Amino acid sequence: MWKRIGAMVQKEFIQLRRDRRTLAIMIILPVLWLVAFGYAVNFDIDTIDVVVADEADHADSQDVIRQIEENEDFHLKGKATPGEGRSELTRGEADVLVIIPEGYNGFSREEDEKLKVQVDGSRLFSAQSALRKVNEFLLDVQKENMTQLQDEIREELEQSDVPTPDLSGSPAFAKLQRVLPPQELRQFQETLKDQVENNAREQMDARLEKMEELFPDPDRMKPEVDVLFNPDIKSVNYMIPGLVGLVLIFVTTLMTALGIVREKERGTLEQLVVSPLRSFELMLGKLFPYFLIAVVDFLLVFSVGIFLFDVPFRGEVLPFLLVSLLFLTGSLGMGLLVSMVSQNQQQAMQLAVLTLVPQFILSGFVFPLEAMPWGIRWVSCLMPLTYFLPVSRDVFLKGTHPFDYTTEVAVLAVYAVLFLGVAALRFRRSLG
Amino acid sequence: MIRMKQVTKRYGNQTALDGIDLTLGESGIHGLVGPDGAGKTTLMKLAAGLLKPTRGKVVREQGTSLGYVPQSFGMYEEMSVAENLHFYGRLNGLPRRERQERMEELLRWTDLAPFADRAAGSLSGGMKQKLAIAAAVLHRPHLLLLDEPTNGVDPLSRREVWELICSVMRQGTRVFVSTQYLEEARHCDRVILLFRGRLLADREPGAYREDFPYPVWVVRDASSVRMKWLPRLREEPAVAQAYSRGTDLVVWSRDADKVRQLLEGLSREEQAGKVEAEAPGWEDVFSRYMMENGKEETAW
Amino acid sequence: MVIRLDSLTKRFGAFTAVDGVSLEVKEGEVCGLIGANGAGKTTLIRMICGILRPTRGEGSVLGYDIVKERDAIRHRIGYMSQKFSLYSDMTVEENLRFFAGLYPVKGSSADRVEELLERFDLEEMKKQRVENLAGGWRQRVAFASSMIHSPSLLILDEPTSGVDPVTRRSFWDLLYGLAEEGTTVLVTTHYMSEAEQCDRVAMLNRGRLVAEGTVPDLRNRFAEILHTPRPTLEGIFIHTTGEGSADDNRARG
Repeated sequence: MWKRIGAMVQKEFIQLRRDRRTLAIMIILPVLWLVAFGYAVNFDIDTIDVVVADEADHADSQDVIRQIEENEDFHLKGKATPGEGRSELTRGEADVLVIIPEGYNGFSREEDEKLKVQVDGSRLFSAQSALRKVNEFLLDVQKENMTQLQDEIREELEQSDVPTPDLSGSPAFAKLQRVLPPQELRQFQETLKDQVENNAREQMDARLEKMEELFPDPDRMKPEVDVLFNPDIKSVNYMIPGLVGLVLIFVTTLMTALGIVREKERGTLEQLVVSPLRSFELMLGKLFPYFLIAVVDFLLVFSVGIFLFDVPFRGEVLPFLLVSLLFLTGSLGMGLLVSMVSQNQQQAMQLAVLTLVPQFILSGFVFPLEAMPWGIRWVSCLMPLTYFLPVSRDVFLKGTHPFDYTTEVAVLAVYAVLFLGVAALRFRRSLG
Repeated sequence: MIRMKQVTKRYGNQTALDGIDLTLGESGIHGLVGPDGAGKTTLMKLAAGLLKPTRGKVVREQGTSLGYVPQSFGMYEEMSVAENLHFYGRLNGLPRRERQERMEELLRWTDLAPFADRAAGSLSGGMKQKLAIAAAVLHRPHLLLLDEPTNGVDPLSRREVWELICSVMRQGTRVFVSTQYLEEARHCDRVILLFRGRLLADREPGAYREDFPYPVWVVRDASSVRMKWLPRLREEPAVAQAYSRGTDLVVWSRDADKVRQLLEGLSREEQAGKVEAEAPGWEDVFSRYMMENGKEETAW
Repeated sequence: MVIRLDSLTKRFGAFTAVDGVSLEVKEGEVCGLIGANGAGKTTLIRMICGILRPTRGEGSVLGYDIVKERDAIRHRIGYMSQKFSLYSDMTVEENLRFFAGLYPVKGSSADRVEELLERFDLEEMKKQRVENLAGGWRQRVAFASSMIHSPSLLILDEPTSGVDPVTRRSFWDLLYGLAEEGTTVLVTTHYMSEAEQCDRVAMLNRGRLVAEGTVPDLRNRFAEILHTPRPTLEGIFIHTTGEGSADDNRARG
């Protein structure tokens, strides 16, 4: 068995070595794609022109405006009404419109107190970086305000004295003086004082805690973002982890899609079929070389993302590699399946593209899943890429451990087994 | 008439045809015979004007109308026999009346009349070829070019295809037809032997056999001795060529009497059948030209 | 008997590709399977090789059942398919090595490859890529590769279709040599001239066996019917498929 698989693998490598052009395409193309895609979305701008519509017009709102003015990333274009600001955005005279609502005071607790940020999403590159910066900035301003307020309150509470109970003047105390010896009386007096003080402190702590509860969760202070004209802007950091998946699925599926149909066309498959080579041996022999190339592709794309585009990789490399390999196995199997049901290379290409384009559009790579109507979303749920994307993004950006995504990893595993299994069955059946 | 002068056709650095001088349309049925890769299809396409020669000239005489049947089935498979003929008739600008008459005539000739409403794709190999030929002669062309019309067709249908070709010729259309079955040369009035892009000969069929320089002897029922005799015979100076053909042993002789005596002697010694004279077959003729043109260094 | 088929039938949907074919081939025989394109030759061969499962009937090849023991059969037969069956982007030697890797080969596969290169006179061109070889040489390499495991049954699907006569002759020389050594050969062809080369022929038409026997036998049997002392196989074929069934013959498809 190993002898036969070995013969297959060696043969595939000889052919790959001869077909330099294909080999080059398989290795260089993913990197080229990544670079092209990556630069296309990597258009950071230096200063951001901001227009403010101040509907509150009081100390808190003026504080925000002052801070915008002081920040060197921003350039305050001036104040305007929301309508004027909007048309300035449309004309491209400003990058961002910040609306401070009437109810705003320092930080927002309720919906109608939220700051509003509007950008022109049709200007994808400037909008996305502007949005990111303004968002962070406004959030920081509000957090700062809130912490300040909290500190002030705490200080005030702590400074107010704990009332010490003075019992010496009360009639009950006179009675006790008569009954108890002086030593015990002092002791009782101490205990009582302690208890009262403790009670008071506890009460104050509880009150402080209650006060803190009254403050909003920092997440709720996020300005309300309103992207005009194009709601789907992404930053390069967000793009690259997705691209890793996309590029890999394209290359592997297309590569393997041609693998078997080419032999079918040339007539060499028949020769293999009459030989003692079993169908799973043939499949393994076919897959192994492509698997290796896919791994090389993965490492290349991964490195380019990290070193060329400075995308942070906060997760662990090895587990991520494992999950990626699982994903790759699935797409290799998919390609193989395409190859088996096709009669010629042209058909195989068409079929491969047919399986890939929906993944490109519907997997959440371009359009966020949440924005899709349910009718389309269940189609997304059938696609392997849909499950790989969130893992990839979160491992890259949030440093999540890939195995925490039990569902996603399980689905990818199921796909890998399913595609390979069906391919093997289908292959055996096609031989009668 | 089509004249080819010193025609060479190259694909990349491969020479498909090499210095061909040829006139088509002078004899009734002009056959083009050769194995796969000889350049038959390239020559056909040059004649039809579908290819331009790399060097040399292909000249079609003014007013020579052509019919062309390519090797691949050129009919619309999902259309019926009648619809296909209608379509090609209109394409060739036949007026309605004439088209109708000509169609009926051709359906009769080809024995396709009962299948007029059948989809062209569902016909058998031989019937497909006959339909394609009918479509190509609807407009009564001066010259009909047929690229391997009998390839892969069973012997009976092949015979019918040749009968159709003959009746087309009798109606006044000259035919230029290629085939890889050497023995089909017998149906032609003139035969071109083509091998590896070179024209080996262009003569009348009778002439090929008449001046075959080696009398042919055949030993019948020699299957038990063939492997023993062949090496010996091939060393004999009087033997030009020796090979086994099924149970027969075929020997070309440079000296007819000497070889006959040799063979009869051998036959007596060992179990083998009669020694008989035989007319050279088309395979013999073809190999002779290959030998004489130094093309014998083939792979086997 | 090397091949023994008993009313083998294969249907694809409503279409019967092979219809009740019974056939016996002895050891060391060269048996020709003759018929037009679509007569069922390739389907029959694919069943014999164990690639296709018959719809009905049974058969054995080299003593192994063609349904239950297909693996055993595949290890022991050599098959040269109609389509070009080599990897044209690999060299002669690489192709042979590859096939040596797939089959159980006696001794080391390197030795076996060397042996075949010598026997088929391929030594000089072993480093050449198959795509650069002339047609006849390619066929020679394909033939050598089907011999890699010294099979006792060699199945050749239209091996000399469209080949020039000189090449064809030397091919048959080689085949006769193998048969003499005890290798049984089953060869398909649609050339009647080729059929004359075989010890035994089986004529197929529309999936049915219309005539079968050794060539001298068939000649004797049809000499009287066809009113000629030495009828050609083409004459016999046309006689058995043609007369009386011509319309039937045409209406297929």
